[in-house]
Amino acid sequence: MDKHGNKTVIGAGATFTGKITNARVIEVHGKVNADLTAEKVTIGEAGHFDGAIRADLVVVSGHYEGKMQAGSVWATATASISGKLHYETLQMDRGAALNCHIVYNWAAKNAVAAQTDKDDMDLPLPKPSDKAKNGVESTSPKEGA
Amino acid sequence: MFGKNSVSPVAPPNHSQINEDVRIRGTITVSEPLVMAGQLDGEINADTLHIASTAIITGEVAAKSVTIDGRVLGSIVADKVFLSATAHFEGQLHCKGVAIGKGAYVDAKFTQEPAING
Repeated sequence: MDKHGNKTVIGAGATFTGKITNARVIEVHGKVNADLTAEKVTIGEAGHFDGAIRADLVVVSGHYEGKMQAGSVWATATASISGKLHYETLQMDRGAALNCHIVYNWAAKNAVAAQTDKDDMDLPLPKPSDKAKNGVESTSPKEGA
Repeated sequence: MFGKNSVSPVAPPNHSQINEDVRIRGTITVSEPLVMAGQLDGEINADTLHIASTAIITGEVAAKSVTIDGRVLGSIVADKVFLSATAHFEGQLHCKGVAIGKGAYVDAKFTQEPAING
């Protein structure tokens, strides 16, 4: 392992609960229940992340549940995501399981994000008009196998 | 956008590492080696723990073996503790064996447990 690489790793045998801020690059292979702010987040195949993520790039190969606000999201074939996903670019590999509310951030993303955030706090389902305006709603939990 | 991110999912590493710019509040429980170089406010439970020189830990540390190069304020419960020359430790230490390098700052209440079976 590149011990000196500028990278934080939560290994496969690790469990973390709490709050992580200022992490540049973080890899999660264990169980994390946390709020995280980072530049790049990788959730490994065995990784379990439960909590909010704010990051520029998120690569999900494991299990994610929570509210993610990311620039780019890459859900690989083994990913399973539930909760909420705010993204600007999204890549989803064949087999990825998304069972979540997916919102594309338009140019006025801050306003939209703030608005939908508020809505979703109160209501489990956003208004149909919001959906139509803000992005795509995906409710397909089926994994392509 | 995605092409340049050659972040193909890698095999899970068998150790954990918290970088120096990371700030953490909470609890980490690790059954494998952990290198801690960031700031932590909370608890660490680990097997083999290395607290790097950039680390600042406030709270409780429990591990089998701890090497400290950084700052720890709080309590340490461990079998073996090594405080290196750059270590700064204030608090309580409960261990079976301790080694303190020349130059380490230690201001601690120390209780030793007799080493029975290592």
